Amino acid sequence: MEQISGDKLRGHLATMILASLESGPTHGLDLLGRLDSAGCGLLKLKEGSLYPALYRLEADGLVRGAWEADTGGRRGARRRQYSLSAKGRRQLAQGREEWVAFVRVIGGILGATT
Amino acid sequence: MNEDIVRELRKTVERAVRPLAVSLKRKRQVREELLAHLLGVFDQELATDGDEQAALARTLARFGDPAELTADLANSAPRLDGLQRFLEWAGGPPTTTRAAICRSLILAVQVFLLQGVLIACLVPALLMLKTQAQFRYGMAAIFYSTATSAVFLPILIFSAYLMRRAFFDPERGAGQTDAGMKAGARFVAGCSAVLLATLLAPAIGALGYGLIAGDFPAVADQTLRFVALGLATGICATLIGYAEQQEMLREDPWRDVLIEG
Repeated sequence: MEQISGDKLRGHLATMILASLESGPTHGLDLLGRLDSAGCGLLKLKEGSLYPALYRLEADGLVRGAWEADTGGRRGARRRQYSLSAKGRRQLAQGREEWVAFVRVIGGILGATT
Repeated sequence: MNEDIVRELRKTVERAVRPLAVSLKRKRQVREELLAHLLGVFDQELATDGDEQAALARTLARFGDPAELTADLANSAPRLDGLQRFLEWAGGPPTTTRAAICRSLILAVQVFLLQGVLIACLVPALLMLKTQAQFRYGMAAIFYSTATSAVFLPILIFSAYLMRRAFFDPERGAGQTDAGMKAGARFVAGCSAVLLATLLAPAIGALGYGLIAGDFPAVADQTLRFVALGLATGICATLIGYAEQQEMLREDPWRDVLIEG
């Protein structure tokens, strides 16, 4: 199967991040691992682009960020743990509904409904 | 880990972060998080074949183009970052006495302006006060609290600078023939500044209170509060000095990163 990257992911990244955080708080690198596992290795995301998406979600109050206390030998660089807020959970539920509607409508047009 | 590898990773982060028009605080946070990410990715990649150069190349490829990231990061700053930028207009922690004086005065003007905006928001509420005396009292309270902070803040910030140099700067007096003398002079200056601020703060507070209340003998009844204010000033100056030193230590490795080429 072809890899999914760039523009195809844009617009869905925020909801995918919220969905990945549903299973518990984590930092950016681990979050990418979760996205990769959930996408069966087919998501091709430039890793740097995860952070602006996380910052926007944090600014909108959909996720909460907190610095880890220790640097784990990372040259003084701390990681930031992200967790889903109540507002983020509501947004995720809404995102899922919108996705189902999107697939139904576009799938109908393409004649590709399952 | 090889120092050259860390330098390359820092350079990649800096290419994405340095051009950003955001506050210094924001840049520091983004730098730290992106570097932690790259170091984590590098460790993952190194574990696959043990070749540092190949692992570095794969790490940078996974991360993506820093210039694209800059554009994306520019739209992701928190809404209050503009206020932080305004307060950082005079730059980060000063390294010379002259810069510290300038920064203290600029900060005082900035806080004065911010309070001006707040007062403009409060005027409608003041106009609703029933009597002329209440209105006068309200206006006087606002005026004196604004004037007090404009005087008080430069003292606090400058004391914090002297405190940092006296106690927290790891290079105080280092590498100089008269290192002991310099360190001693800084120590005395730091202690004197904090002592002065500790005495000045209650004096300014008492003066403001007397002027607002129009009853200077009543100031004596508030002695305990003014003593507490003085102690709080000394403690605040010390804490600010310490926090600024930590900020400088975090900033140091990034200062000399060359992003061209």
